[in-house]
Amino acid sequence: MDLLQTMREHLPTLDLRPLPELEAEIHEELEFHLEMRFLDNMAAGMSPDDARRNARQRFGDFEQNRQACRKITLGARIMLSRIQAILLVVLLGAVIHLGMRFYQMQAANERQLKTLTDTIERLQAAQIRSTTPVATIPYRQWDLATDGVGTAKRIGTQEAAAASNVPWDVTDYSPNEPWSN
Amino acid sequence: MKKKKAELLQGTLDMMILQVLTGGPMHGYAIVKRIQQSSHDLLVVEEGSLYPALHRMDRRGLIQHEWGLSEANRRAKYYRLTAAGRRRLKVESERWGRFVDAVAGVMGIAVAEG
Repeated sequence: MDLLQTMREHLPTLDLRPLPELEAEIHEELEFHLEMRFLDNMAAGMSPDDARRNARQRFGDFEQNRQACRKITLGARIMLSRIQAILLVVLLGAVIHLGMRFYQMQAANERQLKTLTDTIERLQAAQIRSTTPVATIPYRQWDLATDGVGTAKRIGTQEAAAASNVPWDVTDYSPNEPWSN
Repeated sequence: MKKKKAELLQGTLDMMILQVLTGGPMHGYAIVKRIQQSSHDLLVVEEGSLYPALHRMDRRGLIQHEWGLSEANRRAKYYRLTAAGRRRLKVESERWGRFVDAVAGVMGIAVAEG
């Protein structure tokens, strides 16, 4: 037996017609058999009651055979329907879970954003208070790069003095004095 | 003389269905009648048990079905043999032949020794 045949036997094609239609066909087929046996029995001279009883007796358990046919013919379809239902439930669960996680994260982000905004506002308010001049504080701005001989180079003294509203105290500055001893 | 009915061996029903269908498409009732007539009413087939076998073979691609009108002008499900079914029948027939030869051989020895 080749591989294709083996696969076909174990993975048969699905009849995708509606399940009730397939179930009705199974019932119709079995009923046809009983009807034909009944007619043959009648033709053989049996009474209608005997003909019907004999037909049922020879057929065996109608419901058991119907269920067996149903299981064989529709088993794959029924299993597929169950798998689809399970996957749908899992998918819905995943969507609900992700939705809840998204909502929680969004709420957390909003809380963090609000905290951050409050902090920024507090800092800005504190900065405004701290930049209001309350006393004359000497202000110097130094360029820490040296001029190569160990002395500091002063820059922007005029601008720095203007910004701090404090006159540059030239007496505190010695151009040729070493930066550190 | 009253005939003794013979029980079907497991698995032989499928082979007999395939064999009967080599004669052309048939519905289930006609298949049962043909098996009983061919065996001179010796083989007992519970008629309803034919249908699970037919559906199983149909599902496995050994036979195919289509709906048509019966001799009584009623809608009936007709089965016919597929190429895969013919191949299976050949394999099963050979296997059955070997089985019968083996049993006959054993019975022959038994008779000779008896």
